[in-house]
Amino acid sequence: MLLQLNNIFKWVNSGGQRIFLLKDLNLEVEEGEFISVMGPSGSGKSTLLNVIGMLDNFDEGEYHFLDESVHNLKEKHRANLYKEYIGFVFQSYHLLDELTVKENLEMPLLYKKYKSSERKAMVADMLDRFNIVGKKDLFPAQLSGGQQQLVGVARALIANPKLILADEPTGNLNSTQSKEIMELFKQLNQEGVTIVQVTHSKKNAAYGSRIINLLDGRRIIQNVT
Amino acid sequence: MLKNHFKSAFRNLIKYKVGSTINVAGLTVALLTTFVIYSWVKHELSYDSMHEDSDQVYRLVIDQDDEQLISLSPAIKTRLLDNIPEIENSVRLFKASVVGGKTKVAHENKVFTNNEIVYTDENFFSIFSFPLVYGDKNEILKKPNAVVLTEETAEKYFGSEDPVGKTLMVSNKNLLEVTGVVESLPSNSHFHFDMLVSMKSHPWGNIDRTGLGSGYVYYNYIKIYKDSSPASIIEKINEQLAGIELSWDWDPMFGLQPIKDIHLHSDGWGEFEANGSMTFVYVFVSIGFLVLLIAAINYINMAAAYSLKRSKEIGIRKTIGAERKQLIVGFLVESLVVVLTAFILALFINELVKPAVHYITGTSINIWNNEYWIAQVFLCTLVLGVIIGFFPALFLTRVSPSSLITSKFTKTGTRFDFKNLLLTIQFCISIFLIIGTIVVYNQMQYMQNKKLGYDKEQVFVLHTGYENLKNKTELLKQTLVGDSKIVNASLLSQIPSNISTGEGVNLPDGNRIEVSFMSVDKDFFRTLSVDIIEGEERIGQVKIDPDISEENRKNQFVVNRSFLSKMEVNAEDAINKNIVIRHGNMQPGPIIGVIDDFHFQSLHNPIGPLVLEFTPHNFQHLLVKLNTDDIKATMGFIENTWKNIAGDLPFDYQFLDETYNALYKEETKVSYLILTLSIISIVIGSIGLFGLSLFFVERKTKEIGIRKVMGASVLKIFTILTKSFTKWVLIANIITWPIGYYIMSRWLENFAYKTTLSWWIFALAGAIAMAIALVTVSWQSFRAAIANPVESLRNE
Ligand SMILES: Nc1ncnc2c1ncn2[C@@H]1O[C@H](COP(=O)(O)OP(=O)(O)O)[C@@H](O)[C@H]1O
Ligand SMILES: [Mg+2]
Repeated sequence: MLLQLNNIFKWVNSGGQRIFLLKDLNLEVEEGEFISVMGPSGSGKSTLLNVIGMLDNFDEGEYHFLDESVHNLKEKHRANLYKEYIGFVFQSYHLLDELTVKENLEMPLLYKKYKSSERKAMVADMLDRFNIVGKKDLFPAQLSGGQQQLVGVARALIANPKLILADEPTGNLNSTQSKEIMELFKQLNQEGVTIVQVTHSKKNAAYGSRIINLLDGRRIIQNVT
Repeated sequence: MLKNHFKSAFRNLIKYKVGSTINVAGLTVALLTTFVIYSWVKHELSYDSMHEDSDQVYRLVIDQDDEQLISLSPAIKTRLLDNIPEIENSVRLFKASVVGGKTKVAHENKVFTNNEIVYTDENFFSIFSFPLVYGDKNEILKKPNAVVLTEETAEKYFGSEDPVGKTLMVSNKNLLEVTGVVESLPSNSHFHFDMLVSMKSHPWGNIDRTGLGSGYVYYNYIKIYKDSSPASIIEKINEQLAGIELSWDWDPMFGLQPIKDIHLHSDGWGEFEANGSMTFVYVFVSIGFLVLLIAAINYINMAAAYSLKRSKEIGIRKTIGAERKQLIVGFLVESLVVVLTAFILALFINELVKPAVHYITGTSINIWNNEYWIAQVFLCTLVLGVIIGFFPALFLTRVSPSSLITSKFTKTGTRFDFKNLLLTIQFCISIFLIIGTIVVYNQMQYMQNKKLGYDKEQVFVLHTGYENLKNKTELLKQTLVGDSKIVNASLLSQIPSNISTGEGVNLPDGNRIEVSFMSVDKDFFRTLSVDIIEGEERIGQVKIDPDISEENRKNQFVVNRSFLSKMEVNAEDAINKNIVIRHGNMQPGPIIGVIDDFHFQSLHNPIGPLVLEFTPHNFQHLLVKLNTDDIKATMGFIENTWKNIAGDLPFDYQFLDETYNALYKEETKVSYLILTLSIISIVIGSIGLFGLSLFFVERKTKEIGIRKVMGASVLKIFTILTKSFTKWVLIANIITWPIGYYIMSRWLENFAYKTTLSWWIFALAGAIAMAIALVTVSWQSFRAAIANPVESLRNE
């Protein structure tokens, strides 16, 4: 078991009323799974991903990640946990515009205090693997959306995370580019990386092994295949 | 990692061009200002520390009720040296110019009268360690008629020749032999000279026979043994010198001033040179801090303005594993890059503006000649960089990475928004400095235009106190008055803009009061248009006969109104009352006239009692009231007349209003400095405000577009945009007015006669600040207001 959410509640108070963003949510993710999260806009998909990624707190419930009880951990511990095990991919790529492709890939390694020689090797390996060696000295603004997202995925992957969280990774891409990213995810998953992605497209969702449907912060079980 | 921080910092600087430019510009000006202030302050604090044993050297003064008399009797030296074993050594200085104008010193055809000639004892150089270029410090002042020159003086007389052994002729009669050359004196010495002459060649002969109670024109310095206590030495000095009879109303209470404290802490009667003041050091240090604060606030405000954009970057960095510590370091590197860029620019500009700075401050300090200087300033700059980088770092790195992903951040705004608070602080500082500038300027104007009780315009002061001229001054006066270009002339003892206090007078009832006095002739009153209240006729009849001996002279006096109030009689009753001045022949004499009060000292002092006597042997100057605006021709005439009568005695003159202005030299200098610094800080503040207005308008673009589509006028939109700034200017005014009132009334307490702090000063300061703020933001606001609304809406 990679992670387990038990009866998670998350809410905000607005005008004396409690608005639930996540409501009594349960989820288990095994290592090596590829899960797609679906649901209408505003249903809490991003919120769920943030909670899983420990970027955001929840108000009630239990969260176990590997052997750790995340709900009992201090902020700093939690940050260490996601830094070590989780990579993020975003809809709008979120690359650092002032850094080149190579530098963007190197950044997570710098923060994790890898040695210079190790960093060089790992970056070169990533560039190679994603076929972007020729782009290594370009800035994000000089790349197409698909290329930027490739870099985004490469960056998420570079420190060898166990889990990749992708929030609408193809939301800004055309169908060819989308396909390329999804194929990449599939391949990564086969290599053993666990993936949780948010998507609006049935086609993309189908790459996953399991689909989770959200509505108003709750899971709904659909008997559709 | 550090390399990457630098890389990011540089790229961010380029990415956020507008902000970086504003930051660097503001900090450059602020650092430049602080450099200048810092070097000036260091210079002020460094006075007289160049002497090897400066910690053991003290100046002896008479110290009574917060007032000091600096020049003392020459006899004190031997008395103290013989009786107080803790005193290792002692040296006296005698400034030749104290007793009579300028002295002519010639070598062949090179003749100069502008030398500062100082007589001193042979051990001068064992107490004051000015390095010598030629000569043995223990020998050069031993013999009579030995003179030591400064490098400049040597160069002036002898060019590149070796001056040692050459001679100089003083006043056409004494031949001095050059025995040594001393390096140019450092500017941070509390006394300067051009020539140092051995005491044995003193024009008054053997001064050691002077009594302890007389000859108070010598500066006495003592060097005490290490580890001996100055307090106990002061006690012993007072034991030794107890009971000295001084000819004026001071008690002989002696004190010691550490020489390092003289420049900033001593302001007594008869200082060698005008000293500085600790108050100004504090004033400029404070202004330096304020200017830095304004620039620092600019930086922090810019960071706040960019915080929306920057927080996205922070969010990304956090999700890819950055720790807060690492992010903070990133921000610090950025601020350091900014301040160091500003630092380097400031150093360059400093070189360019050096002459201007010299002109304004009167000090010239070369940054490069002091290795510590650069290091210290560099260190301070780094500290500044860390401080200004830390604020934004602390707040921006607090952003939670999740807010980035849901992009909530842009909706709720940032928690880092002190812009308004900081802006208000900046306005407070600017308004305060504007108030200060106006008040200082007002006081200057007030002093220039103050009715002094006499007319100082077009009055020419000629120094006539030469022994060889004694019998010819009356002739000189009459010859000048005979010409139509000259209205009037009067011989007198002191320049009437600055007469010292310190003579005792016995009143008819036996009481003693302290007065100022001067010797004049009967034409004094008309020459300066001083009002005579009582006894005009008798004053007009006063005859001055230089042939009558001192003992036989019949004394008669004219007093001013404040003398009468001390004496507690009215003007009519005062006439014919006998009083005694405790100097001269000490004969009682009647008061024959009463004049209105006039300001015979700087306006720092209230008008005190004044006694005028008609004693020609005290005459030192001739006042000449000119008739014409053609000053040049009249001057030529006067100089010719001088040459005919006085021969080649130095023609040494001033204008009376110049001597008056010289009293306020320090204030004038300071008022210019405060004005300059106010302008600088306002400019820096405006740069920052301009930057903020850019962001503000940018954020409001959509709102403006919608309002315009709905038909709002350009003026309406302009008002909306500027309103948010003007509110803070108003608040800043309300905060600053009482503070400014308090501080400036404290400053004005330094003056016995001062302008009032009327309300308009504060209103004007507020209006100026408001105007500057409006002009600064209006360019952006106006551009936004006239922009095509469709354009801005489409961009959304
Ligand atoms: N901090 C918050 N305060 C108030 N409402 C929030 C907050 N975070 C998210 N929401 C709301 O919660 C709902 C779920 O948001 P989100 O998880 O982003 O939905 P999705 O990603 O499925 O479109 C939305 O209606 C959103 O506006
Ligand atoms: Mg979402």
